[in-house]
Amino acid sequence: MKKPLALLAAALTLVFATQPLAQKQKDDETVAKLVEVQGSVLVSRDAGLVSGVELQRLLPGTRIITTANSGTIIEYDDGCRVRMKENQRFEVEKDRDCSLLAALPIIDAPAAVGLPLASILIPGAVGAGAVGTIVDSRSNQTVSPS
Amino acid sequence: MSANATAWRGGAIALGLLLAWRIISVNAVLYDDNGRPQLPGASSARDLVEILRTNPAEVAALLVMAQSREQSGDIAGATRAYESALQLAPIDRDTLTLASAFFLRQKRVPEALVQLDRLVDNYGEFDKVFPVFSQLLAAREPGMQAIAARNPKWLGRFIADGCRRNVDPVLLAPLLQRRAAGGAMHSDEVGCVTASLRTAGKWDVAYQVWLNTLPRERLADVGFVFNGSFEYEPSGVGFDWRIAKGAEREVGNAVAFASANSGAGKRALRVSYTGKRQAAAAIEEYLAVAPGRYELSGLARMDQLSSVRGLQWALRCVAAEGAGRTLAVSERFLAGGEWRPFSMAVSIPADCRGQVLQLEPAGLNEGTTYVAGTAWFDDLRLTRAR
Repeated sequence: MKKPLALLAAALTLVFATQPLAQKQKDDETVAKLVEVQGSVLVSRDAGLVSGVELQRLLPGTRIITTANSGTIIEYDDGCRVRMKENQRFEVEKDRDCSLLAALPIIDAPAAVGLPLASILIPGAVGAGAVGTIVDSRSNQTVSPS
Repeated sequence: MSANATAWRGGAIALGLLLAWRIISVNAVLYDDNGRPQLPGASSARDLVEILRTNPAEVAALLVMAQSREQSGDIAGATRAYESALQLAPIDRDTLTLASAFFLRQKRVPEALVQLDRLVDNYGEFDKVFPVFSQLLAAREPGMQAIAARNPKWLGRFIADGCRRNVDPVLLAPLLQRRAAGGAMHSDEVGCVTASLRTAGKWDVAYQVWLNTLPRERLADVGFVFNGSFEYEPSGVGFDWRIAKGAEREVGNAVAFASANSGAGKRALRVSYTGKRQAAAAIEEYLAVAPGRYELSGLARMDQLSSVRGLQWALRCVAAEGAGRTLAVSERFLAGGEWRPFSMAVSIPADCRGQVLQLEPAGLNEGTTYVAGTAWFDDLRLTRAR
């Protein structure tokens, strides 16, 4: 009788031990994760900004800042993906329509109004391109934040 | 382009014209009593033609001819003469100066910028050309693009110069980004631009510009209070620690990030007070913390600190004109003792986009304040309250 119980206990232990990390993390209050991290991407924690890492889970209210020559994608658990280019800021929000999520350019003054000078000074930060692209994998389409 | 932008550009070109005229310092070309250009031995157009026939590469003759033709309204002829001169002597100071002035007058700004760029590259002339560049930058002149993209060696000097001339720091920020990407910026550029952005209320931009100037390893743990462990020497710019300027005998204290055994890292903040009157904070740091509730905590150790009211950390909201309302102050530190923790609650309101954290004698505004002894602090951090 002892042997079957021991086997059951071992099996249960194995099941819990091999439960995917992401699934475990989904059980907490996080709603998204960082993927395709390039360069220095900063994530706000309780004690301030720290470097973000690949697959890092994100709580609502977390601020993400990309520095120069950096970028990442915020991948929500529901499939919504927000692409951040360099020098952008994004705050993780919960239960918000994917099409309303957008990263904001920080150094944007000339580029935001479509002036040509900044389009060269800040490569890739012109007009709509200055706003983080939302790749909505739920519908497999790229969605404009506007 | 809007009417406003067009007016800006027109104004910039007009100013550029004026300034460009002033940079004319031609050696080869002389001027008569009436200010008309002349070349020794050439009193008429026929003389000039003769000089050029003898030596087609006589650039000075071409320049005089160009000016003469422009004055007579023959713009096409003047253009040909200037272009010939530039072809013969592409980095000659006089040729570059006169040609750029001509192109500006003709509102051919891109061509003028090419020559001004060469002029600055080869001869400096910063104090004369930079104001023109500043105006063209403010006017969003497309011709500035190529120059900035090239990231010339004088770009940093231009940024610092423009910043001192109160050029909109939002326009200078992208230039500084380009410099930072190449790792070639200087602290005076970073300091001036970030300070101007802060003053203009552009805290987010200032913070971002500063972040981009940090080496990658320093980005690993920026915190809300940067370098709160005092392990690194302060840069004094951006959102790093700033130490009160002046000699110890003048400010009455000496600040150092010195070896310490606080248990948090190898170094700590040490402020040695001489007993003289204190007029300001010994050390401060600008913060750009989002609104919310936080706790500021740290370690402190006083060593025979003598003062009527003691020392305190104060966090203030920064208004455009300087430090504004006080958000929180710590306990007052006095006397002596071993390392011990301290903390204070901080609430940052929604309308407070930038803050300054200062170590100051308590009651600076209540009367003359003298402080003697040494204060140590370490592991200073701001943590979001849950």
